[in-house]
Amino acid sequence: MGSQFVDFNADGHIDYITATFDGSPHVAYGSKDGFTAPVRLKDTQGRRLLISSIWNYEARKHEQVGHAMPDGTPKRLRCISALAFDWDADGDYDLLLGSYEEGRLYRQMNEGTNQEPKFSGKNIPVMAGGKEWAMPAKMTAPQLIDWDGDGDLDIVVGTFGDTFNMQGKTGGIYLARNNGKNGAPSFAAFETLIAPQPRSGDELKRPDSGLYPHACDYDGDGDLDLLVGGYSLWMPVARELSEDEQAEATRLKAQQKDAQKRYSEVMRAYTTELSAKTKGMQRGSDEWLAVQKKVYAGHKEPMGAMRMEMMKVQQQLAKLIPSQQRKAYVWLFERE
Amino acid sequence: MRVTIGMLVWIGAFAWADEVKEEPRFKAPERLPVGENRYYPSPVMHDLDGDGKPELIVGDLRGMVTMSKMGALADEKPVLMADGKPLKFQNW
Repeated sequence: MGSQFVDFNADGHIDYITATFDGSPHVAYGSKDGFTAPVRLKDTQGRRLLISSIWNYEARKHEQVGHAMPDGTPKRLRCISALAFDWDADGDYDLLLGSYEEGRLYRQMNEGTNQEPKFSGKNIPVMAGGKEWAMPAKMTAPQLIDWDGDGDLDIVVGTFGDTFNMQGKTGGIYLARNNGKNGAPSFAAFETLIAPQPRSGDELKRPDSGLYPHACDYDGDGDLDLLVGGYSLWMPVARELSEDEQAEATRLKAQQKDAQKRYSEVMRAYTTELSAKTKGMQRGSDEWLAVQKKVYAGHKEPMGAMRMEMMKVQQQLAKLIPSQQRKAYVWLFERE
Repeated sequence: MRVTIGMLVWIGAFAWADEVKEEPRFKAPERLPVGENRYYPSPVMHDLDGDGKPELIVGDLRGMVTMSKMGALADEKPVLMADGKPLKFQNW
């Protein structure tokens, strides 16, 4: 989730705007005593704002709905970023909504005021360089910032790439300059700020995927640096093992294999019982979930114990034979 | 002086280079002692406590939010709501 701090409802207190993987923008309104509990924003018909894919809290399942899409067709596009932005310079905040899949960016107009917003419920594609905004490596969270000091807000944004697989694509950081006028923003084609880089290799060197950038003058020298949250994937070099260590590694591998086999058996017992007891029920329905909860309770203990055993073996093995490392940190890219 | 096609191409290349925007350059990244062991940390600088100095705010996939004072980044504290409970955005 990205974070934006603005006085969204114009009450003199700073509010906190973001979107999570539930597919909707959230606001924690500020007050004289601090933030209040976050709420989801709604459109004029009382529906939660969204792009298309959402987690339905009532039905407890993922859904795709089409009413906010430009052509009304549901699409696998989940809103995971939100920014308040007075797009048409009419004095109230409209919204920019960004999707994870395809890295799309939409605007949704506020036809009311900041105190009484009326979001249209319809998303309009934002353009970049004359084309619909799209970042195929999946988009993290855009930031509005006057990057080039020309008095209007540009957009700095990152991409995910593959945050799990060392062989997968890495993420980058990009800039879309606003070359439009007040009330009529016009974003240029993306410029690269940090190009996707090869993975770090055998040591931790840099963030390479899931890049959440924030441009700011971190060191106070008058230019914009980049703070970047992101994952690093690397594979430490294996060291030479003594004979005793080799024997220990062999023993642990066998133990790991055995534990995995037993875990599969425990899992199979659970899924077999679940299938039998939920036969004819709709997966994800209240009835199905009630049965699932009961069945799971009966298998929870052995499954948990097996997972713990496998984790311990893996930790011991990792001391002898390194495995792929995947960790997230926050980094500073200081401007030269 | 005789002007060859090669010379014209060479002069043209310089004229084009003048129009290309210089890409910003950044030093090698430096890891900050903040946001570790979080899922997809996202940093933002903002003066949250109104003391005139920005704090480093880090949100994450789970909807948790922490803040750190500059100079003491590793001392991450949950951002609290008005009722004293940690601020957490709902996520599935």
